[in-house]
Amino acid sequence: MLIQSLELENFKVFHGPNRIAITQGPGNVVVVQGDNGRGKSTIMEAVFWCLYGKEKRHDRLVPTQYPNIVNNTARKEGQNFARVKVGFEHDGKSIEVERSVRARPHIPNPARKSDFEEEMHFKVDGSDLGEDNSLLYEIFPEDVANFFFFDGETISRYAEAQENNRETVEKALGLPYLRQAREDIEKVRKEFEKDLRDVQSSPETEKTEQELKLLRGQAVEHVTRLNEQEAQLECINNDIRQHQRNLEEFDDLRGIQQRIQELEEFSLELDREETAMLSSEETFKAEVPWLILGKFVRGAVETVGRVKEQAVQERIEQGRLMDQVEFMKDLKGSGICICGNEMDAEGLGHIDEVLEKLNGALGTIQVIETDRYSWTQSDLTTAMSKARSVDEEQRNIHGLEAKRRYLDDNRARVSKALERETESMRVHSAQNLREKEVFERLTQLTKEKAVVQSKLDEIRDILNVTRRQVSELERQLEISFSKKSSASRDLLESIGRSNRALKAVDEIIDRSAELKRAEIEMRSSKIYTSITNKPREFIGLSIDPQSFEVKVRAEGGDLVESKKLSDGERHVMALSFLGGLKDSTHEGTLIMDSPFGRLDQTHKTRLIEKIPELAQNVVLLVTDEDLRPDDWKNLSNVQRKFMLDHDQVQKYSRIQEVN
Amino acid sequence: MPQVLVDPALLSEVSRKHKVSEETLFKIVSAEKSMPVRTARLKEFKKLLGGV
Repeated sequence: MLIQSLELENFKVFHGPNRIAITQGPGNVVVVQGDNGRGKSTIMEAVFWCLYGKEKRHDRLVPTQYPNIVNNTARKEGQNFARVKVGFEHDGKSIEVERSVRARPHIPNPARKSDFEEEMHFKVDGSDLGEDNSLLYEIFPEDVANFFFFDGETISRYAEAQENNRETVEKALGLPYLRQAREDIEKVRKEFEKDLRDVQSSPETEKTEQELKLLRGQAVEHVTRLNEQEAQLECINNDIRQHQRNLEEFDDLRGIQQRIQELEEFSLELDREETAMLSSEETFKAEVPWLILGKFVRGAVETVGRVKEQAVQERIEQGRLMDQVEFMKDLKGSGICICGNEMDAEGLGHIDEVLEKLNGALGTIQVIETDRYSWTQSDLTTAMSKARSVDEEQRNIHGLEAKRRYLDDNRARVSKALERETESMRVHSAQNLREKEVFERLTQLTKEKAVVQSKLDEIRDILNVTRRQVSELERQLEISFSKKSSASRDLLESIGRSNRALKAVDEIIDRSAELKRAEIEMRSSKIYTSITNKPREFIGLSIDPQSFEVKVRAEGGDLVESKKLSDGERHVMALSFLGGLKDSTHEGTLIMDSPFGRLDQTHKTRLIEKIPELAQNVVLLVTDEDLRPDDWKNLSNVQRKFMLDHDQVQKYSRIQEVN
Repeated sequence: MPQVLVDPALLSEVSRKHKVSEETLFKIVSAEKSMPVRTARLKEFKKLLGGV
């Protein structure tokens, strides 16, 4: 931070606009000279107030005191405002900080803080950042400023151990940047650790696991239900099969019934056939006489015809039958006779004989009786036409006999079958009542089966869905575990890298601090030995590595605490320490307020000679007594000189540049 | 003025000792200067240390 200009307007003792310009070479020392009470320390205060909004009182920064900050003369003139502007250069940037305080309008006698409003502008390369002066705090923190803008009256404290001495010095050296980097690494490491914890106890994975557990449980339940339903279905199927078997048994019954029905129908058919046969038989029987007659006639014709053809013919021609007895006699020997009412015993005997023969021949021919004893010609003609051969008649007889045997056999068979089937029917009849029950039960079972099957299908569907979900979740879980494992490995590596980086930065901080400490110690010692009037007794300074407490290294190696030194020696020691510190940073402006107060002339002279070397630019705030004419001879590299003119009447000062 | 002045030799030595790449370590020690916004810095550190 290289201060280039300082402007004060109505700030405390200063009235109106005042300006101190510090330009680059030749010379790097700016002297502001004025008697006590003219505003030397006010210039230092103005710098602190402008930069940090606080007033520097002795060794402390305190809140701005209103309205004392505004010059009294200016207030009397109605100019109720004060303004300070500091222009400096840092890292190639031109920075301006301007702070002002102004009484609020329409307040005739502003006296309280609330009567004023403060305004600050932080400009970087002409760009107004408003009140955002965070950059300032980064490049030049308040406590660091104390090392560079210091009051000679309190300078000795820098040589004494302070609790935050090291911290402050570290700030001056930029080590807080490294510490901040360390904090950042620590934070990042903690984030990695948190990420690791999150990954290891991944809520998503846990959720997936819980869902999976739940779904697996559901799947088991579904399987159980499925098994139950399948078991129930199996029971129903068994029941159905049993009932179907029962129904099959009932089918047997129906078979029996069918067979009985068929037998009965067959029996009826036999009846019908028997009736028909009987009818045929009756017809046949009715025809038998004519058959016999025909036979007889044929026999008569064949046998008798030749002999008594003539006689018969005659009798026939006469229109009447011959006497039956005679006729029978005539026919005697032909083996055929005919019965009649008027037959005599002999004739009847023949008839019996004939019948016996006929019975032998015809079997079933019953006694033939006829009341006809006399036939007319037409009778004979009819008989002849109806007569058939014996063979034919015998065939008819055999047919009837076969039919009768057929009927008798079948009727017996049907009877037996019916008897058998009826018995079966009787046995099964007890089941008839159950048949309906079985059928109804079977119907009910079929319905139950449909319901169970539907449930089964539903459960199977749900189970399939659940299994798919389980499969999907398992896949997700596998991916999740894989990612988890990979992420954990990566995070562990990151944590390891962070830990190594932390150790590395720690070592850099410690060793850099030590390097800086040694460097400051060396430079401070160099300055110290060039200023002290006891260079043989005190060979240098020692800075404690831990506390940064500054001690004088005596010949022989002993360390002398600052409190055992005289005020002058302590002053020199502090100046040397600050000079060494400043020198180590190689840049910036050093503002020294009354730096010679406690020095004897020897020390003072040596310090004056050393001043140009202490910093890139040095602003000396001194009294006439501090820099006497002889002293000016020892001060080199003076760039500009300002005097603080003071109006005794108005009691204000003004900064005047003198050549 | 505050500044980070880390000796390159020291940086190199510490880098080897703690097995942190010199480039990473340099970025870390200079991050405060190059990236004043902390969130950006943390993001960068996370990338650096996360091996991204």
